[in-house]
Amino acid sequence: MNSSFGAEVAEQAVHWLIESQGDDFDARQQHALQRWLEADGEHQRAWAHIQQVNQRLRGVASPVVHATLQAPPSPARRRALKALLLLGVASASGLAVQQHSPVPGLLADYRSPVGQRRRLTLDDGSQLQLNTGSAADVRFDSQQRLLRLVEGELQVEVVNDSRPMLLRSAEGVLRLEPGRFNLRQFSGFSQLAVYSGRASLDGQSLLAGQQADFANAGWQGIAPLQADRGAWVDGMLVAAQMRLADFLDDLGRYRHGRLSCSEQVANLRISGSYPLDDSERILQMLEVALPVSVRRFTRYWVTVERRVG
Amino acid sequence: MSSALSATVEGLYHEHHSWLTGWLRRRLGCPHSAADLAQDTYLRLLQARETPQLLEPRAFLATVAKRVLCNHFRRQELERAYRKALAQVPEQFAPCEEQKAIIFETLLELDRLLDGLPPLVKRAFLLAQVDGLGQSEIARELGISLATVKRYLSKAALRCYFAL
Repeated sequence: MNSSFGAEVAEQAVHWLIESQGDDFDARQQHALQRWLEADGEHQRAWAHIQQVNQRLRGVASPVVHATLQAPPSPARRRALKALLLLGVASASGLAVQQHSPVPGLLADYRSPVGQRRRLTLDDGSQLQLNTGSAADVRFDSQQRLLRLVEGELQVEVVNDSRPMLLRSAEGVLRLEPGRFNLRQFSGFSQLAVYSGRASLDGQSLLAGQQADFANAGWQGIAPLQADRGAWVDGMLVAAQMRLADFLDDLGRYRHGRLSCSEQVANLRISGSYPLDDSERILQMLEVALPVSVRRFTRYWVTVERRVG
Repeated sequence: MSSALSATVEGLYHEHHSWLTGWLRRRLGCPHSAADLAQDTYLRLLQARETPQLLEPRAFLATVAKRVLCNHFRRQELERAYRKALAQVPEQFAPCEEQKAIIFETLLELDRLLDGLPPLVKRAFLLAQVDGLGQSEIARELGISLATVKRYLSKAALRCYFAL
């Protein structure tokens, strides 16, 4: 469990962590961080290591952490500690991780952090938008235009060009005719919605006004387009008689941490249009719209429960 | 591990094992834990980077054993605090037994890594990485400057992520 990083790399990684959590972290610094990451594989490993530890820390309910760790040491222990000599046997273990998983979105060409959206114009004039926690690669050459959704969700407005537009997810490559498309990467499958134009997968078409999933055997569950699902590009979360549990799942993508509800309220239905830029406000509105109360254990751990009384 | 080291530890084990167990039992009042902690003490010696120069083997063993003992007491203390904290969590959100154990291991590691840092440094770190407060919010909460918050966070982060 050794975190086998050089002191210098460790210090730089910590510097970037603290900067990236600062209130004034801007696009310029974001680029500088990106350059630092790309400069050395060791940098990426150190960064991934920090992220993994943080993920573990955020999985613990904060009240429990504070109550447990802030508990003042007993006087006896203090005395004992003072009496002890520290030996050089403590290995640098800690919350280190056994394996370093790659950092999928971090090294993509474009990414949009959790809670943010990003709009780009590509070289051919096509418009690309990235939803919360999303990343994409763009590879255009003389033969083709290739877009790859690394994680999350994107919407692309494809313009006409002599080169074909290909859109890749973890599950397959789509060929897009000019039009507007929304692609979302789920775990184990992808979902495409066609607003206009046409998409083909292994020679089978999905037409404007349709949406479908695909994993590895062509389109699955072709259905009429749920237009609301693409409202994120306008910064809105639109619900029509949506289960509260599903609504919170969706909203949770735009926030860090855990957002859930108790079983008693999971099946309440909610409708309306909600501005995504302020998910805290949406939670407040829930309390007005439904017989629920929002309970905040911490910013990272929020649950919605039945209102009592 | 060098063979010199394991030979030294082996020697210590043969000559002083029962003495050490007795020493621990007097401090713990429990023969089972004493035997466990004696094992832990030798394990800890085996993880050492260098072979200790042993002029006073028992004094040396006692020093290592005190550290082991201290961790043991800290673990018990944390376990009590943890159980008390869990009791405050509403039942439907309470973690299952397996999760409880995993969380507790995380807490133990976190506690060990942050051990020795000033309380404010610890608190700043927990507020940032566990609660997700922004740096200026932490500054307000703790009544310190933003620059100090960043310094505290860096200090705790080096410890927590890299054991530096």
